[in-house]
Amino acid sequence: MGTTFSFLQKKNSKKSIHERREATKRKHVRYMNKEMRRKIATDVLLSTTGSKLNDYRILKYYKEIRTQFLANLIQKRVNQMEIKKFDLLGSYGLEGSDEEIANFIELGQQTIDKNYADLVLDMNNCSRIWPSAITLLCSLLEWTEYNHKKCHCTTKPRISSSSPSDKLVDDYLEHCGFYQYVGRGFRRDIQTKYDSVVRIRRENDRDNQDERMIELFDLVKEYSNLNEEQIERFECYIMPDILLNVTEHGISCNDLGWWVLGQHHTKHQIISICVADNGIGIKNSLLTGPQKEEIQEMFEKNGTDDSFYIELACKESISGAHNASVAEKTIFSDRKYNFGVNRGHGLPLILSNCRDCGIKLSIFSHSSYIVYNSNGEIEKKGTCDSPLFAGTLYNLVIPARTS
Amino acid sequence: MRSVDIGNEFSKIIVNRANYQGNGRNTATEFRNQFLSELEDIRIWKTDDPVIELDFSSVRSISTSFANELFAYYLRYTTSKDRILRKIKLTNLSPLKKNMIEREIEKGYKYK
Repeated sequence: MGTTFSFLQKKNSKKSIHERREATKRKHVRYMNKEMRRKIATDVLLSTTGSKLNDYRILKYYKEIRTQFLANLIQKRVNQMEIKKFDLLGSYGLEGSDEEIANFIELGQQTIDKNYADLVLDMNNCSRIWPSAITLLCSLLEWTEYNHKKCHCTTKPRISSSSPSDKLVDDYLEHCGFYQYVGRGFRRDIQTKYDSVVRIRRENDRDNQDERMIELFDLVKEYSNLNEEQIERFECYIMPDILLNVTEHGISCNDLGWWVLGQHHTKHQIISICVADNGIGIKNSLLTGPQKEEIQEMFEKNGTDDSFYIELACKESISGAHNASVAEKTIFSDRKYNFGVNRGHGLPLILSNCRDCGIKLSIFSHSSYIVYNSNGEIEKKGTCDSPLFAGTLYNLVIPARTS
Repeated sequence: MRSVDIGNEFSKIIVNRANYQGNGRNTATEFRNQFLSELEDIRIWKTDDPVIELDFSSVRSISTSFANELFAYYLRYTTSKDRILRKIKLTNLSPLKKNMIEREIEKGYKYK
């Protein structure tokens, strides 16, 4: 079996389950809010009308209620604090076969939005992990950090993994920047050399947008099978709008992160490009935009599941991005927009240009996904009960030149 | 008539509409203020005389948002796409980029 590494190098606590329960209990006591205390005090007063109240009786009653509340809450948390081990067997990614795509969806469902105390990813028998799956794991890491900061009552799950026994897979995780991303403490020499890559790196603000865009442009220009006009389409219609989506629609006031991974796969003659964020997702973006009522009506008439929202955004010029009809601060953003701004995701143009260039486009956003083939037709779509991706992932599979 | 080499005098990547979009740099509003301020005078729009020439030879990427903000903006002074494109002469432009700019003017300015 491989050695266990800690992904999150910031804290190296090895508390037992009991110690963690006690810590959680103390946190809950601190955060029991004023409203609850006032309500309890009011209940006591109403139930003992006419009798003489004293501080001792009120305090005693309050402590009984509090103890009961905490016991229920802790029991609920204990039930959720399990150690989950997920075996990555085989191959994962949107770039591969139907089985690899199904494995990718399974990985998302099993790991995103789950309340584990510990999550162990056993990569010992992983035979291939495509860029899209690597992007998913990076999203998972950021998502747990974000939720830990947002919700003070949960402990941050520890995520660890075993190294793949397959040297090619291990080399690739080093080469593409994944190990550096997760904070693995040491580097090693890669035995297998890969072609050009745009290494994955978390961007904390919008500053590097142009630099990352140029890296992707150069990757595609160098290795793709696209003609000059198609390369221009990629550089003007496809990539700018995708990057503007993640840096604008995808970044909330709490999480400024987005990331990019690009890789030329010589053997498979493709270039895989992943652009992702941990934002509010396409559905929430549409339902908080200026056309939210119209979109809700459309869903009630024609929608069967949440992939409807992605499909709608790809078909019509629909505006999302918060509430653009008035200038206000929302929980999703601290930005203010002028009245009447029509600011859509640009997805119809992205999709039509992908079709013109023979590029396969997949969009995963929270619990829904759509995979468009290189002809722009829907190959797969669906919605799962639990989130597949913490924010939104755009994956492009571009045909590469034969070497 | 003035000439501006956009790629070398401004930026090779022109994708942001305004400072709230993308990285907020090299935006269309910034370009308008820096190079096209004279076009804010409504009297200029009474004739077809060209005012400025924009050279796209070094521009690598332009987005629809940028094109809309830069060119469709002037629909407040004229309803004629042709007049806008006569006032602002575009040179060394690929058919794809030219087509993008024309379509954005036809679609109308995105701000009401």
